[in-house]
Amino acid sequence: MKNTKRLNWFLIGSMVIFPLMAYFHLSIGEIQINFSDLKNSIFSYDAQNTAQLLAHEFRFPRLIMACVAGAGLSLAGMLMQTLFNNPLAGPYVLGVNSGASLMVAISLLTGIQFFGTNLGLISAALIGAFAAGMLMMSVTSFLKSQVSLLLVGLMFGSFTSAIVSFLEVSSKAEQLKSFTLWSMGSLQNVLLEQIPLILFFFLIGIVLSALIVKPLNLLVIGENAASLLGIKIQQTRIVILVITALLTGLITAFCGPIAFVGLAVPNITRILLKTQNHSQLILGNLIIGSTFLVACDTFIQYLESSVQLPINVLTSLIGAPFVIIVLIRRTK
Amino acid sequence: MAVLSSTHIGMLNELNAINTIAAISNVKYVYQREVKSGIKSGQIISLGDEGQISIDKLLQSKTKVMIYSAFSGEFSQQKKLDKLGIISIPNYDWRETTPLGKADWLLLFGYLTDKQKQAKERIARLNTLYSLGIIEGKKIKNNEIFLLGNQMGDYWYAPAGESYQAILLKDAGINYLYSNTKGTGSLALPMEQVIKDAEKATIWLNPGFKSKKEILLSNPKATFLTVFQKGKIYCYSANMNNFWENSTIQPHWFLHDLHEIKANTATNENLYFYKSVE
Repeated sequence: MKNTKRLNWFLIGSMVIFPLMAYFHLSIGEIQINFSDLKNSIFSYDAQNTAQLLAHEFRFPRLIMACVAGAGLSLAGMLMQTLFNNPLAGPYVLGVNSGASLMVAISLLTGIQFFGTNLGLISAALIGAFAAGMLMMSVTSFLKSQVSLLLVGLMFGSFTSAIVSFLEVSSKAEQLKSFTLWSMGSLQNVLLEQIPLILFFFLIGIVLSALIVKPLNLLVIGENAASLLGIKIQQTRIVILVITALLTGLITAFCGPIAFVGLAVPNITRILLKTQNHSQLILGNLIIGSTFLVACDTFIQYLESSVQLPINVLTSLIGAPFVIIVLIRRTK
Repeated sequence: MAVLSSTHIGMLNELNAINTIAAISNVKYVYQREVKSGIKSGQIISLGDEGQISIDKLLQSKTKVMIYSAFSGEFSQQKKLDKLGIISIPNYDWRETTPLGKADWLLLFGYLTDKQKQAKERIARLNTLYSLGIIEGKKIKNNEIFLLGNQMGDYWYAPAGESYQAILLKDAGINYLYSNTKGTGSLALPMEQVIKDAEKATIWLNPGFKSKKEILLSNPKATFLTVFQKGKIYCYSANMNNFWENSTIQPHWFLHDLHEIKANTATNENLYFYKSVE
């Protein structure tokens, strides 16, 4: 009862905060766009009008990408935290991002023709994220401590960085440039016509997550107990891995690496909702994740005239201290 | 001597002193045929990138003097070089904010190769050629707006109004979009602002890529720039090594290219550094 009340307040709050944040995100920046141009850019779009062009082709795709990236990474992070029963798990910490980045590096730095396309880049990121997830999952069976798992994730990140550095040294100038630009991370490069494809994969991730709510709820009490209650652990693990790889790979391919969102937001959601019910947690992560990244990006746009801040830098500035706080709290 | 920048090779070539080169940084960045064949025959040794040169190879080349660019201050292996008795000299030509100021560093190589008289004569000649270039540029009556740079990460980087590139454009009589801005470095601008500012730009220089396809792969939103849709695009990326070796010591070639582009008479054959980006 108390939880339902909390969830209701949370939803009411989100219904106020998110639209406000989205409006700020759309309207502020070096060039301010008024409400009328924003509205017309959707309902009676005129490409000759610069304000409408900016809103239609730049601001809306950027807003949608910020929502998808924030929500997707948070959802992926929540799933990994439940799977590994570890609040410090997340696609970035456990090397899923690193796997995606490695494959993108291979695709951009080796000059293989197929990878020079959008589809090639997405495929590379998905393959990399999935392979890294598989690797981490197989490693867990050999490790007893959760800290060891995080260390393996860290080592895997260093290992992939070393391969990327090696590829960078032996690549051509143009290839190196393309990869460097991608690795800076950006929410701005996505095109309006790519949005349907992104939303399609994003929705698959959400639907699959919704389908495994029951196993997720039971995984909280431990794999053995969940197994005794009839949960097919191996099957659940694979589905979680597929969702995580899909979401992380998709977002990494389009935005580059974005750190710590997948780690920090699921923890914030748990603190706010005080529940282990995954149907509520999924909803909470989607809302808080998207609001969080939209807020970060709005802040960046607001500061644009005085400071140039890449999105990955801001999320790391917020996320890294958060990880330290979580670690200290757990040690106590 | 060992030279760790392509620009240094260009300067030694200007003094007909390529034979003084015992080692270079990375063969990947060499344009000069003589240097390439020197490396092939083993007369010139490739040491690796400036930050990580092989000291063993440097010793093997019997180098007495090493010139480096000093982008990050003192040379990373300075103490080792001191112990080995190898003199290292930083070259700060890249800090100069004017094209002729950069070319003046030829004098350093003149002294090192005992060709100081020749170096002074070359500098005087370059000054004359460059001044004549400025006069030529004024004769071309075309006021098209030029956009420079490209998006990297979240921002569009373009030369600030007092930078070396902006001065070169001004000397070429070019109407550069951000010529009135302050600073000698780069401007970091949101892409949206560039779209708005560059509505009337018809020529885009230095996007950093050889083809429109490559531009779109790194910056898909470039498609909304009027100059991308309807204008002309030129870049020196087609032969970067030529550009880095010769653009500092032949600034009048640079002016020549800009004049041809400005006058709409540029073809890939009559340009020294630039090529049309299609």
